[in-house]
Amino acid sequence: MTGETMSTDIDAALRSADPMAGVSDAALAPALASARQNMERRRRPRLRATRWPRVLVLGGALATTAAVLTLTVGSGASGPAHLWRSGGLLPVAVAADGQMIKQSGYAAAIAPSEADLRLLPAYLPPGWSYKKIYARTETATGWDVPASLVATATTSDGTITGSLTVTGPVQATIKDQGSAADVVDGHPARLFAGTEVPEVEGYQFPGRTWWWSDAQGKQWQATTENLSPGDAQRAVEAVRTDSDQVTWKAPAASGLEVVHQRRGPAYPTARSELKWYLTLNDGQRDREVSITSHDGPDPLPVTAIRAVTGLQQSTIDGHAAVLFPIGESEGGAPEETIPGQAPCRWEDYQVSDGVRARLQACGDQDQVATMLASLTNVPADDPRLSTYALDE
Amino acid sequence: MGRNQDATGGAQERFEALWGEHAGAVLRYARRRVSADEAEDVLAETFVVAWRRVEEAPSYPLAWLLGITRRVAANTVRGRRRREALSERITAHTSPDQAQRDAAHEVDEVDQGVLAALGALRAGDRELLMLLAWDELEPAQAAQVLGCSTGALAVRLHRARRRFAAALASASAVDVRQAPPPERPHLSGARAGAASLEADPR
Repeated sequence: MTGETMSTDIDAALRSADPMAGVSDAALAPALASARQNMERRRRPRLRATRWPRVLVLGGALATTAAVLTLTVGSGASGPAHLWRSGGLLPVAVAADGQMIKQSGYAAAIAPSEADLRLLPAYLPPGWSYKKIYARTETATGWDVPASLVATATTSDGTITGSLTVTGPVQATIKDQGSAADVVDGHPARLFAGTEVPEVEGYQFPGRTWWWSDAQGKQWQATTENLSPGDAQRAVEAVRTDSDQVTWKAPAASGLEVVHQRRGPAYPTARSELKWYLTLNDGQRDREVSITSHDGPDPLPVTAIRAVTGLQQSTIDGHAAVLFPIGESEGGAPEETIPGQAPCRWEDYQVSDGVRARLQACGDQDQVATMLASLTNVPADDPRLSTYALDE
Repeated sequence: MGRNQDATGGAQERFEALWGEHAGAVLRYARRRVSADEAEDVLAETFVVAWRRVEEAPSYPLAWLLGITRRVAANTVRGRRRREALSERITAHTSPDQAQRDAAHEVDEVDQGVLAALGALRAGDRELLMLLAWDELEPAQAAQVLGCSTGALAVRLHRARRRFAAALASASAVDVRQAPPPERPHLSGARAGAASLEADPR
């Protein structure tokens, strides 16, 4: 058998076994339409706000190809100082199933000269020039609002089998549709049964969600996961709120134990970002530089636990922690390769505390790094800010 | 929301072009590797990721998209198996094996010899042959999806073909040169595809 003959026969055999051979584009149309709807529901306006806090890899303790995220328990002090400091209690939206909707509140274009942060590089690589400068402020609500109280039930090896999570106080409008009337802490409440919280791929267990308003007119959410209806009801019946604080006493034989309880002020429900854009040209192609500044240090890590049935609860530095498998669904994109040009790769740079930059390096990583290291906050009357400002 | 049309309108246009030109290919890739229901989720999640990274999309984006799809599909398979394992541990009830359920109602006609031979390969070899033969990628594109150089891919391809030929001969007990092309199958490829992803360390 010659190599060429073998190759030809193998190709023919493989092609003939293609499971999608003979499936026309028309036959795929319904699936494409359904997937498009699914995608639109998941898609959110592009924000630099990460869905999860920064990943912490526990040394070599977990030999897996997936990065592991650790969330540690709040210590009960005044609250994590490095969480978002602004936003207060901006209203959050609630979905038909009782879950908080993560969404952008509003975005606004701002003149570069009026932005709080006006970063321009003191060094441009040879041949580079400015094309455009523009800025945005974006405020998002509902993103990763930490729970104020978390209680979990675990097996002897630490696997979470069920949980109660109480979030609040927040400001939210709760619709009656799709929910049943109930009572929590003596207040009228709405019960959303059959909640599934798809926080982590592959870990979806039934839950129930209650919303109610306290005596101050603020809203609270309690969610149980993987508890029987009776156990869930008993768990929520034990929830009490007093101003911004939540307390809970485990019902007898519930198996639930408190692993996190906020003692300080209410967690904010919104975060703001300044997004600063530079369009530069390297003589051959445009290079878009996007710089994101949080209103405070990068949230790393969130010091409030998130309980998901099936995951492992452990202890780190005396605090309960839940280990999340992140996976690689958003792994780095391969290098772009265009014949005749150096390959480009997106790179992230930490400019300073709370400020990150992202742009493509095309075989010139060193020069790009030098340029980014030279970013300087320029005066509002720097002529470049007006010369290259995007006309909007 | 007050977004500048020039900034985000361009991104939206690029995204719509990605969808219009490549969603079908991504769905076919996913359908060859996971169940039909899962393939829709994989397609949706791939383009959610693509939307977030639309600025990174290269001029020839199919390999970039399939690289994302490959990781999303692998996560889907791992998630399904974790869910099934956890359900068995946590609840008193067990659920039917998802792969078996899919295979039971999706298998129409099967080229047992070829699929058995593919199933006998290592995951990396199988994925490489599928990318070239079924997804019809050029070698340079397949190298991008797999994250290797074209030189390394050429070596891997040579070895994968040899192993496949040996496995095919063993599975079908018929000389490859003399085997007539089998009837065109209509299989979702769930069983072979799922095995391809779960064993691949990448």
